[in-house]
Amino acid sequence: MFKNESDFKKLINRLDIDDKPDASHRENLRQQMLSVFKESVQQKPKIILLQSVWRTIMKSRITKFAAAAVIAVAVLLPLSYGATKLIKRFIAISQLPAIKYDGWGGALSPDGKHFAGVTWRGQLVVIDTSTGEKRKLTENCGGTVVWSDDGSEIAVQCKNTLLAVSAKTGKTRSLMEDSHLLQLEDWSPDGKFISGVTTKVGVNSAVLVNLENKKETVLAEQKGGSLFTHFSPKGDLVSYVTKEGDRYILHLQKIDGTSHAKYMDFPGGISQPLWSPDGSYIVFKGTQKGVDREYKDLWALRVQDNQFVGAPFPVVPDVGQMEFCNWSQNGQLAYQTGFSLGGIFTLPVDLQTGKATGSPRQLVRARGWKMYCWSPDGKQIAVHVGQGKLTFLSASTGEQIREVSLPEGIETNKRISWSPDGKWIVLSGWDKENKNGVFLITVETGEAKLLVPLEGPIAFSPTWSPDSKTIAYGYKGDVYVANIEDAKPRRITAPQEKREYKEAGRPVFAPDGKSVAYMAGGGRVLATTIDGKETREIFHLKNEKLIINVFDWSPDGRHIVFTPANNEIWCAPTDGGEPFRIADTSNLGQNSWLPRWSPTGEAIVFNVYHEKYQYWVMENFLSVE
Amino acid sequence: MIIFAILCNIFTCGAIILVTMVGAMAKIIEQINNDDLVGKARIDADALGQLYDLYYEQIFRFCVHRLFDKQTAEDITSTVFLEVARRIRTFTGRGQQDFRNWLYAIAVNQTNAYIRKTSRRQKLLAEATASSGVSDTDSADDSAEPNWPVLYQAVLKLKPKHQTIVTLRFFENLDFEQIGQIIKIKPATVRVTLHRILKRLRNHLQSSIDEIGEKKAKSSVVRLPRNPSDCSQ
Repeated sequence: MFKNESDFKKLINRLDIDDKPDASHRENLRQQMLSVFKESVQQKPKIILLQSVWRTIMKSRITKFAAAAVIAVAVLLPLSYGATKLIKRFIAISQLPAIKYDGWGGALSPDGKHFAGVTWRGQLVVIDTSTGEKRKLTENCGGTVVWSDDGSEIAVQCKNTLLAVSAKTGKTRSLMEDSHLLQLEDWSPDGKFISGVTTKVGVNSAVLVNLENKKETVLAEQKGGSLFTHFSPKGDLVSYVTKEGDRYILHLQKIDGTSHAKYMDFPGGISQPLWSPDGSYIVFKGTQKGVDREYKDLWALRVQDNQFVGAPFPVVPDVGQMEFCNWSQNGQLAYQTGFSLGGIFTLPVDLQTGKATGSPRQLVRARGWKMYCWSPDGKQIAVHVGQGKLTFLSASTGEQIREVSLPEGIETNKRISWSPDGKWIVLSGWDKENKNGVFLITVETGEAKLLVPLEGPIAFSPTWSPDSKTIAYGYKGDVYVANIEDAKPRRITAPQEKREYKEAGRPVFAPDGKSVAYMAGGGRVLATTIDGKETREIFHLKNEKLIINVFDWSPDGRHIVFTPANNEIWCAPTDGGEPFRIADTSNLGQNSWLPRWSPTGEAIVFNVYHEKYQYWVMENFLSVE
Repeated sequence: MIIFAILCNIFTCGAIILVTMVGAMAKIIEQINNDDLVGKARIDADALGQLYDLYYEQIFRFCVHRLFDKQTAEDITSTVFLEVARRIRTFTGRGQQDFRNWLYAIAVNQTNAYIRKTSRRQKLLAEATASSGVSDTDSADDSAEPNWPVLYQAVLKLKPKHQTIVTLRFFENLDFEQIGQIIKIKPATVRVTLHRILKRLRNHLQSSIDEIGEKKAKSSVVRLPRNPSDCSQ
């Protein structure tokens, strides 16, 4: 017996084993094998060489490391030869989830580390974009915010004063007093100029304001529409947009007025233009009409030596959902996307008591504020949806019954009213040729008639007399009435120098047709007879925490309904009783507005603003030359 | 400037590594192209025929050592080479060493698959037993050293994987590393396992020899003449 491996090996060697192959088997098998091989070789070999190389590489650590080095070099080599430009074209989009605030718009700080915005409650807040830490800087603010070039201060409009607010401490300094007419748009990098829009008598003006001497330079004027004035990163140029007829014009102007370039050939709308941080491009949202819908894309136009170079080219498609905030110095273009949950709601009420008998119900979802009115029978609601269109909704279901296009692209941003005889809708607005005035729209056909042409500002809140023969409207702080037969307007409010209130606003014809009620400031609602001879106070809101921003009569004239610029709807008896809240709409959205009492008295329709936004930044969307 | 300098350094190092690697890769590819018959055999019948001539006998002998029966060994050898003919085009090994290991791996799988079926194992055992019986009876040598059939019976009592290790190590004279590559275990494991296998095999062999001794004893009793007259014949 064997003792170990060696012994066993010797034992094996001594064995007599017949293991000699048979020659015939050997030959037969050879032929058979080669025959099988020839059959299979008809197909060409696949990537065998590659597999061999791969196996060779994977056999040892050295070859693995070397292969990794080759791959790294293969990436680095083209990089060093200029592929940087190629790679820079990969758009990077990231959300800023930390930005959560109850407001709209805002701006990213120059270093991209903070975001400033104004909440619906008027608080200026600064949010750390990485941690979400939110600090309240000041209150009673509104509108646009603009960071200073060094990121230390934020310009914002607060209580009729344009302030510079320290981003760290909240300490404020005044940039401009009595600035309530100025809608802030930008702040020059050297801090010496403010750009924005002023609205005077219905005309929007793009202006530059020298903060040292408060001298105002008007760049352009137009009726309505945004002008988007922005300084170049160096601060020597300002860009803005105007519209002439259907054509949008992008302007490039030196702030000292020594040069002015225009780009007039873009086949569509231009909005939200922004300068690239290096000042070599202006990007803008371009709106073009396609076959079946509008297309909104981000376009870029090269700027060099105070001139536009070439034609705009598209850089990011489908940006319709994006509202651009600003393009910070660190290269991040901040924008918001969001959706609207608000719209038009109805609230069932008891005409006798003025109190709500149920909960508000959403009739239709809509973005922003809409202008609407009841049909005389209370079965329909006409809504001005913009873009020259009126839609008619079922007051019970919200379903669209029909839509009419207004001639000449008539637009409005004021309250509209349906005549009690059902024939007309009166609307104060402007047409394509910027003709301004009070229009009568035929309900059946959508045809329009300019009833009262007006110069300057848009008239407020046209309203019908119960007999459908007269309209009343607010204009330049007064209330006018006009017979639709002769269309001759007649002021019914007392001359401004002889009355105690400054402005008479948002008139509503009394249900009896004998007088017109209007807001007179200080929480007062006055009514003046249509002959202008008598004025009486029908309601005085003494609660200092509330204001009346818009109101309507009940059909029987016993109550008025008003919104106090918050999430509530209030009702007040016109006989001097105490006002009372009839609905809290805070669960519906950020704000409620424009209550309109139905002609049958059973419901009040109102508008709710409710929009939710997410904030994003986009980088590297421009090609590098 | 610092970033530019870093990029320059990376570029220079990268270029050196790239040149080195290109050279190395070229060498590898050259080796693949020229080295072996195996590369050619993937597309060329003559080359495959040459490989067959080189390895047929080794594989046949391995099959005999694993299966005892030459006829069965021929069948399994045929199976092995026909499979080679079908799979050679996708064989990713390089050089004859890889090819040989691959051949053995196929042969190991085929023989184990054959032996795994009990009826076949019984048949092989029966054949070995029959051979061992004849041999013992006819043998004039009464030594305790086992012959091939006896040894085969003892080996067949091991697990198939252990049988393979014994065959590859002592009949095919492969080293531990080659065995490890064929049956896909570490060479050290092969060595340790083999030590245990031999111990077990020694026991099995001892039992077989004892068994044969008993048979011999019985056989001698049977052969005794029944009566004195028989002796005279």
